[in-house]
Amino acid sequence: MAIRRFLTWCCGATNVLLIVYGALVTGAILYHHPVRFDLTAKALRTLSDDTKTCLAGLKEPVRVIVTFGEADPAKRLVAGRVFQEAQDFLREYTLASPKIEVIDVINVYQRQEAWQQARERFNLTDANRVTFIAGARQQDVRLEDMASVKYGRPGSPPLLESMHVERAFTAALRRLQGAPCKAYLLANDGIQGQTGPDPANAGPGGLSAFVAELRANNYDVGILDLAREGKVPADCEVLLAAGLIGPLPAEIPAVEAYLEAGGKLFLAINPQYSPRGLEFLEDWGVAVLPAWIVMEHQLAGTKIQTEHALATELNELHPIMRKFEKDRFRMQVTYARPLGGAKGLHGESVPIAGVKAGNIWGERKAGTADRPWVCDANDYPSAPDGLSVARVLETESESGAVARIAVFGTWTFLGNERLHEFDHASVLHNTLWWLIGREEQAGVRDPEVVVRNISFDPEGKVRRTLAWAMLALVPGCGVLAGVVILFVRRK
Amino acid sequence: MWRRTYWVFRRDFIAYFHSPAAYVTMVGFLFLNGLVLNFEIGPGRAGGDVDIALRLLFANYFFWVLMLAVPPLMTMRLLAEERRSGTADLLMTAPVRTGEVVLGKYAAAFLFTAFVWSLLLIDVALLAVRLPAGAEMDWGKIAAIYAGILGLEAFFTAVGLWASAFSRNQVVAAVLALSIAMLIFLVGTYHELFSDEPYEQLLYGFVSVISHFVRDFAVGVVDLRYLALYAIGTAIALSMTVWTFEARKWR
Amino acid sequence: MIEVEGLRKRYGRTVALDGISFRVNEGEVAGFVGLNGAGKTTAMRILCGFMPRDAGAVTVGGVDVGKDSLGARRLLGYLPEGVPLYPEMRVDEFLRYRAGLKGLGGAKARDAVARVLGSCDIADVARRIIGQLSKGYRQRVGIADALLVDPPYLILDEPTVGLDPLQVRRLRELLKEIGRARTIIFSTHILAEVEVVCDTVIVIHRGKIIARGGIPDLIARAAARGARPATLEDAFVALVREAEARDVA
Repeated sequence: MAIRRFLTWCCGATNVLLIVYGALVTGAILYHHPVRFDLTAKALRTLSDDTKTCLAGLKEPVRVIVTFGEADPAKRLVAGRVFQEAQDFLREYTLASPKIEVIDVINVYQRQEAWQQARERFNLTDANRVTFIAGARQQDVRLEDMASVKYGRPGSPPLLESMHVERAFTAALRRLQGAPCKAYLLANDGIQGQTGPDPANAGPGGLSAFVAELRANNYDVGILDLAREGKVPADCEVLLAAGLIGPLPAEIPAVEAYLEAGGKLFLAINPQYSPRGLEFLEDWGVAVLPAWIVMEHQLAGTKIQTEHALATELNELHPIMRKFEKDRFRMQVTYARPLGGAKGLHGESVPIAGVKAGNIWGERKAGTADRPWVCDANDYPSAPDGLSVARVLETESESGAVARIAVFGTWTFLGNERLHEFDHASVLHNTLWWLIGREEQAGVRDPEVVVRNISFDPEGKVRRTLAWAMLALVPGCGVLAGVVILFVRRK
Repeated sequence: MWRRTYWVFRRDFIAYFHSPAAYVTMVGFLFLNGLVLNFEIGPGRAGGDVDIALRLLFANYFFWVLMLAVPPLMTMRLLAEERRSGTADLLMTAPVRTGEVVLGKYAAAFLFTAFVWSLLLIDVALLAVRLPAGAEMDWGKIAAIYAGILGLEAFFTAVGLWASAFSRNQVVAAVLALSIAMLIFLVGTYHELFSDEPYEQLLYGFVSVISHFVRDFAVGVVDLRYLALYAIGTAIALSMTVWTFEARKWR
Repeated sequence: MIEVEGLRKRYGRTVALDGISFRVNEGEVAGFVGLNGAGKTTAMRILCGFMPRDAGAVTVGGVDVGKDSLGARRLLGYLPEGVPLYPEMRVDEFLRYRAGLKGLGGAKARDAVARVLGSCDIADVARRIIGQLSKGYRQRVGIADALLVDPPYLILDEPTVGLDPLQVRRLRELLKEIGRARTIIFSTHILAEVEVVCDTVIVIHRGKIIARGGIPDLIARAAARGARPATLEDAFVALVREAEARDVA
């Protein structure tokens, strides 16, 4: 009798175990084959084809570390939102490709120890970024890359306008994966040594960070003494000159020959000294003129010899602008504003410049194709119209080769002190990608996540009506329905 | 087979509408959810961002209390009451299989739970109507959220039904079901206690229901793996219900 | 024909049925009598397939209850002890639901419900809520349910408990009427009923059948053992005493 009962029990138990086993097997299979449906109205969570191709082409594992944390409560809301979005997208990336692994998400204020360790281990400069690491190379995606944030007047909280997380992430992955680019940095007669723009100088004014940044971004950087070598090496994909006052006469033919053969030239002029020897660029369409602007200087209030401050004008910039939200970028330059007349050392009339470090929003405005990067008048009400930062152009030489030139009227944004501030590194990278013809590394098209910054009902009126409806009206209807139905039934 | 299942389902489903307890649950549910929703759209929480408000809703423990408590309240009497009052004799001497009874009762409990949750749509619609200009409700997102809610509630309902088969006492059944649901819920919730690693690295990150909601359903993505997880749980709980109910007949 | 052969059932250590065997022929009304806890309800629950048995064979109309429980249940109408009903349902809703459960659909179900409402004399309370009905009406609703599919076999577990004399009499008449074309087993410990309604009696005591047969048979048998039974009740008491004495010995 007991055996019979036991057998029945066992039969039931076996059934249950079989179902459990089948369920677990199904679960294990499903776990490795995620099927996801994006139900959002604008398919915000669906990765673009570009991204999928990029992920499919990943050659080596990519580790990702997210560090965020914002001390300022006004900004915390924005940062929190953007990094939430970043984590959401990382999730899509990790599910789409097994090669991508998120190793940690660190809130630097909550987990300071982990943050310190990660900082040392991955050589992170700052928090509030998503770092993609492949082998020894790594790519940072910063908050500014992922979102367009409108900074209002001091004291007012920044407003999040839109987010482009996918664009930033895929660009970073492409940069990590691309073939190395051979670049040569001109060792020129600019101010060298301890304070000047020299790659060996690790001080505030040096270019060591510039070279390190390039190497971290898959550039193979060589130092080229053109006067000694006499010609640009054949494998040079882009020729860099930062902090340049002027090339030596012997160097000019080499540069010209290089451009003639379809070379790419990146030039950041040192505006603190009168440039010389740059007239040859006029043949290529670049006129280096004196102007007010683009003086990078850390000492506000310094008297500046404005006639030496150079700005070059820009021509056609669209590929470079691609990365920037609504064709905007942000650089911090020192804007020299005339404050009125003053007497110079020798009694001459010298305009005193109130020097102010501030954000300059570059913007390509309609109708000013010749001056596409201009200062946003809202940011700098007193700025002269047509505040230009750089000029880039593409020309076809007689041999049919296409040369590209980018000239910046300043170099200090590339210096150790400034390179990792604001959009400086992005401006550099965008320009270089355009020069070497790898614009796709700037990003992919993705649906714009428009943030609904609703100042929801400041007076609380709507909320009050909602509260009444949700807390009294709707449950009240439930009570009424219950009473009516039960009463009618009892009758 | 389906006709008998249908009649079991029909009786139990209609019985909900004739029981005061269901109305009390419904009204309490509406009130509490209204409270939570009002709190989350309030100042200092979502800052008026509907997306964030929805996401905060799923991180709110109040919401989870409802998530966990509604199914046991709906299932606690289904089988326990039949056995206590002796109607189980009546039911099981009709030519119906245990599986049909369990399935019918499960369908009734689940559909009523779904009905209770659908009442929350009234609140969401109210919110959508009163949204300021420039903001819009992403109904696709709401659909994804409901897919999640219904999937998980289907699971918890099955667990509740099992508890109801296990005990003759309604209160015991409810407490047992709530405890199991709570355990399932807590598995991934306190992952901080065990590790600093992010969710993805860990198996219990995958089974953490709160993260399913906060990270996927609330952002508008329906991940079939989670729904499959709930379906697996449901299948296990239902087969255990049949087994338990059969075994209880020995006594 | 209902046949029970060597049926055994135990709850833990308590033996509820200790190898009982009996047979109820077509068209018979059999009374199942015994003291409280004698195993009547257990036997009936097993008979109608609600409870699994430990050993033995049970066939109802040629269908093995253990093997084809569903098929046996189709042939049976069962009124459980205490007439458990869903108190929140209306009478007609309840019967409609039961008809559906028993596999009747549409017009057939409606006809069946109308028929049992009439035959059990409960048409006047069809729209009442079961919880508000008197005990007599509830018994009749229970019987109506058992009669829904017009089953050839009926098993009624203590149908007359708690009824007033008038209700008992009406129920008896009802049983007589429906018993004309059916095989019925009904359990009770009120022997007066058995005398009025049953053709045969099965006496069960402590999980064993101690006597079975027609009423005159039993009285005669008791008389043969030295008692002087005038009624079935006396015969029953004598049989039980004898069985107890056997147990002690």
